[in-house]
Amino acid sequence: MRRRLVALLGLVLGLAAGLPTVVGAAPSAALTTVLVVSPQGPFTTLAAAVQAAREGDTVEVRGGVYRGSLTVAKTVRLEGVGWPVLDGGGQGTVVTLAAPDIVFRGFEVRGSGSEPHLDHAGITVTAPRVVVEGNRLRDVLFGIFVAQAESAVIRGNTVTSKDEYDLGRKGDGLRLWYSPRVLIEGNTVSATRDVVIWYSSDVTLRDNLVQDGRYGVHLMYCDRVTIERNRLVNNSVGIYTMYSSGTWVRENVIRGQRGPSGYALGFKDADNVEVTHNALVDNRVGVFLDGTPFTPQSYSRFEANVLAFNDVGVILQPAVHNNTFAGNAFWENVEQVGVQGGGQLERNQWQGNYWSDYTGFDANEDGRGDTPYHAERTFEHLTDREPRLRALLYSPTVQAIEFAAAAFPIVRPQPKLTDATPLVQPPDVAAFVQPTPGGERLGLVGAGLVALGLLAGGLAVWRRTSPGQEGHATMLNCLPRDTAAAVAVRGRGITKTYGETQALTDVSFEVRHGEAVALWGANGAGKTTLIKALLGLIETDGVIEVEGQPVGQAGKAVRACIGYVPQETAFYDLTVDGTLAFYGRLKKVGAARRGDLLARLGLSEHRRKPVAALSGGLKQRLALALALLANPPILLLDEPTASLDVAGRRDYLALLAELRREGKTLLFASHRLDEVETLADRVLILDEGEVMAEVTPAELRRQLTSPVTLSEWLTPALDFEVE
Amino acid sequence: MPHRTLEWSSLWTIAQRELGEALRNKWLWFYAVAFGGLALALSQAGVASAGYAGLGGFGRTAASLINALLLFVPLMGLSVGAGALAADRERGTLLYLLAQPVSRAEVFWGKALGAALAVLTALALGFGLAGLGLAPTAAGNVAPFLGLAAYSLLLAFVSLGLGFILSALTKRAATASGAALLLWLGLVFAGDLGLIGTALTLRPTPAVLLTLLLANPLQVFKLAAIYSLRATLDTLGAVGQYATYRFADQLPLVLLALLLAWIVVSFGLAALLFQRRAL
Amino acid sequence: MRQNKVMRAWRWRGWVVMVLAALALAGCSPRQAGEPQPPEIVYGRDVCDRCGMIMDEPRFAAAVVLADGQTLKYDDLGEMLLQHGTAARETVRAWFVHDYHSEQWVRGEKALYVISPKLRTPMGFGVAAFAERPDAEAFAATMSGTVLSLEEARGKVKGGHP
Repeated sequence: MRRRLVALLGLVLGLAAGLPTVVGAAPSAALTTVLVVSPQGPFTTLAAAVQAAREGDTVEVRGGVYRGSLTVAKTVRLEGVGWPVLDGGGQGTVVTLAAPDIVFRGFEVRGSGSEPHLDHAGITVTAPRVVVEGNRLRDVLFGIFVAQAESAVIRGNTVTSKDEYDLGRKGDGLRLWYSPRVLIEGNTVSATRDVVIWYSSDVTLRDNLVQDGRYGVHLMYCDRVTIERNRLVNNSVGIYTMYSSGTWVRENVIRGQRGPSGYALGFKDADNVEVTHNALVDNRVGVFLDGTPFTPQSYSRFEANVLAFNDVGVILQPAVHNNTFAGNAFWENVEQVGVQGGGQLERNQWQGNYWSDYTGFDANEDGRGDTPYHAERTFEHLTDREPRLRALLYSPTVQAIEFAAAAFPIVRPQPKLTDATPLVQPPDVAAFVQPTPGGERLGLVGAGLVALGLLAGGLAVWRRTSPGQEGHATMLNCLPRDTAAAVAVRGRGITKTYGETQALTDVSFEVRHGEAVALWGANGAGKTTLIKALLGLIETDGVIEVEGQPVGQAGKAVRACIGYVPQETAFYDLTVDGTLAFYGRLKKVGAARRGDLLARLGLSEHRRKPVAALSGGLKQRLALALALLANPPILLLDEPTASLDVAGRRDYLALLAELRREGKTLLFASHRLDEVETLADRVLILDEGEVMAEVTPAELRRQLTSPVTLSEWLTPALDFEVE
Repeated sequence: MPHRTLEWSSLWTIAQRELGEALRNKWLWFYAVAFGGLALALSQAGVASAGYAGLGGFGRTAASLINALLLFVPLMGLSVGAGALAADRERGTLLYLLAQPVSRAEVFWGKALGAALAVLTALALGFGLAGLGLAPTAAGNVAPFLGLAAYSLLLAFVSLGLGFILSALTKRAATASGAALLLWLGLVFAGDLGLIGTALTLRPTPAVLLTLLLANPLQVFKLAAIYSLRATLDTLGAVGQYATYRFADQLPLVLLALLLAWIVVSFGLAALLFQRRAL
Repeated sequence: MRQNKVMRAWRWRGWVVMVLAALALAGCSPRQAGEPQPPEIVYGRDVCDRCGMIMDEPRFAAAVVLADGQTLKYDDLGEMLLQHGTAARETVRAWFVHDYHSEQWVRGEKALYVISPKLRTPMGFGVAAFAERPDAEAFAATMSGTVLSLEEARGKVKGGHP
């Protein structure tokens, strides 16, 4: 009585608010009432409206947020308008639909409890023929739980679970439990644990998208299930069927299942399996079969599917038999077919499939290869036996092994399977398989990388032409510690040992500023070793100071004070200009100075030539030009004229003499009397790494022309000249 | 103003010259062109049937790319590195360079930088052309492709460092090249074959196998490359799963750190050897 | 001086070798002999040895060590009880289950089992294990289940539709 009154009141208020009210049209039918719930009334809670409603009434909910859980135990239509929110507040199940033929549509459901073993869900259905349609579920542990409720329709809902949990702890997006004849259609289930269908036969799943979950669809003890036109993307496993008979999988796209087992399709102890026109792309395993078909009289057929870019196209347990694979495309799977634990698959039928690694031909043009396809790769044979070897996949070694097996067929394993009539053209990819976009951006990235390459390569010729860089040498010039000091080079007790050989023994000498000193000795007397020691290129015992700076600690500063000309010139593959520029930059010398030196040494006309094209004399001049770049106070020359002809030598000595007159300190190794006489003030005579004597050039000449004395130092110097 | 041991202007001058010379080296371009061409050929093979190209993914095409990279990149790095010091020493130019007011460190790191830039040039051009070739097939995402390129560069630097070690140890360019080839064969084939033997006879745990794998910088690169394409190593079976489980989100960092460690250690060792070696 | 630096170079190399060796050793921790040990399960990665599904819930995970030393692990207590039902007893050397509350390994021989259709377990067997009798009895009361010993539970669990 009281309920009637409330309903009437609702009706009146509804009319007063100017809302559309459906009145039963059939004369004999009872009045069908719409009860309105909104924050402004007439009803402000769903529970009150449902309580007021009669069987068959409609409760329309207009916006608003309604807290607490709701149980509907009456056959009503619940229609949400403007996304009203039902919020469970983190307790229990949010909505329970417990009467037959309820329609629940257009709600946002959120905030369930989070106890997994009590099935805390967004929507739980416990009565037959309930329709749950077009709802949004989020922050719920389980999404829609259909428990012992047959013939439900779950359509067009969007479900995600609680973000804060990892996959194993989340609930299932959809869960069917002893609920036969349910239709699951057009739902989007994202980042929930599984879509579970257990003990529920004659279920249909169609046009759903299941992504980023654990099991895309898990079937157990479900007979006659149809799964068609679904998309399963980036789940751990796509569709896993156990202990069921009659699973029909058609026109699904299953892509990117890469979890621990990573099967796009897995069948365990399943019977009557029919898998046709699916695209299984980029999964760890396309199809996994264990104990399927289970009973001898049942069948298992895989036809006209595309298995592309999977790590393994099809993987079978060794005892699996009685499957048919026909008209499928095995396209670029890393391993087309694998046997867990190794073995052959001849007890299954492989007929008329396309194999992208088929190398046969079709001479009679019937579309079938004239030679059979054999799956017989050696490395696969190894990985089937010892799966850990998969760690070496993608290594060149794998190719090497295949190559070796092809060259020596004796080590080739038994083929895993043989397809006697392989297709030579792959079947067309169905239109519903959409390609991945991204090509244009790859082009951009490619162009970017080319530009980067050109830029990096271009650094080879890039020059910063700021005046500081190309201007006058300031920074690296020789900086004598004591400008008033008379001594340019001082050596004391210089000793160098190479293994057993004593290259220098207690060598001591001094060279004063403006002085020219020759190091006289035969080849192997230690001249070059001493020069290297002065340049700080080798470590020695004793003390060497150049312009007051110890060579050992201040090698760079010392080398800045020395212009060095080696005995044999060695240049990079550059032009004269390029060579000067390179060393000029190392010595921080500008272009003007380089030009002056080129002119002075008569190299101006050769400046564009490659160094390799110069004559020996010009090379020697270039070496001198390089030594003079930073205008160092000391010139260190190793056999300065050894490689020159008579005319060249005369010119070169004149140049050096001129430099000496300009005040350069000269230290040079020589075993030519003409050099010594032209240039030297003093001569240090070296033999077997020791300073034997210090003489003037005149004394040297006397001793050389005298037949007896000192001959022991001089005999090895066969090519000296006495004018 | 005192002379610093490591002065950027000297280092850069030497690096530029080294880069210029390396870019005139026909082998460098042989590797770059061979790699780019191979990538193009593979991408073309992958689009033999247009419908399948759109499916994209990481099948044998990308696998073969990793294969090709594992062959070409170390060969390029090792041979450029092996030539860098030994050839210079053999010509006498190294001695002359060191007689200039430069430090050994400037010479070494200048050469290393120049060689690294040369390798970067070759790889960027190779990858760039491959990317342009792959673009019409829409066969892949950009991030994994860039990841592959970046890891290849790191691998190139690792092998460059190893090449520099050989170069610092040998006197003659021919010896250095021979040693580089041997080392390459060892890294590419001998190590893996040893691993196969170990796996089949001793049946070690995934942890041990992973450790053995990580001892080879080429395999570290491979793991990193696959991870950048896949975001998991499950494709490599138990060992890959163990690696994913053991290091979880840290895995790319661990692999990156290993490659960087190889670079630092190899160049560091080469620098030390170069510093110590008499001329 | 020079030798020192060379030595240092070699010590560097030695260090690298030592790190790698240490890593290798860490990899092969020796298996303990004697008392059977429960397996180390990596949840979210390892799969059940019976049904092949990913194991995610420690609470319901179980394992047996067979007489030949082989260890098998299961994602649901029911899988273990079904696989090693009363007919196949002699092969099992040790049983391992998790206590429902503490989620710690306990020996299955001593544990108590509660079977309840209200309990949601990974494969739907509805079995939980307890180390302590009061826990089991309290749980059985709330879930309207019965407390069973291992032997009783092995006889009770059946495959197919429960």
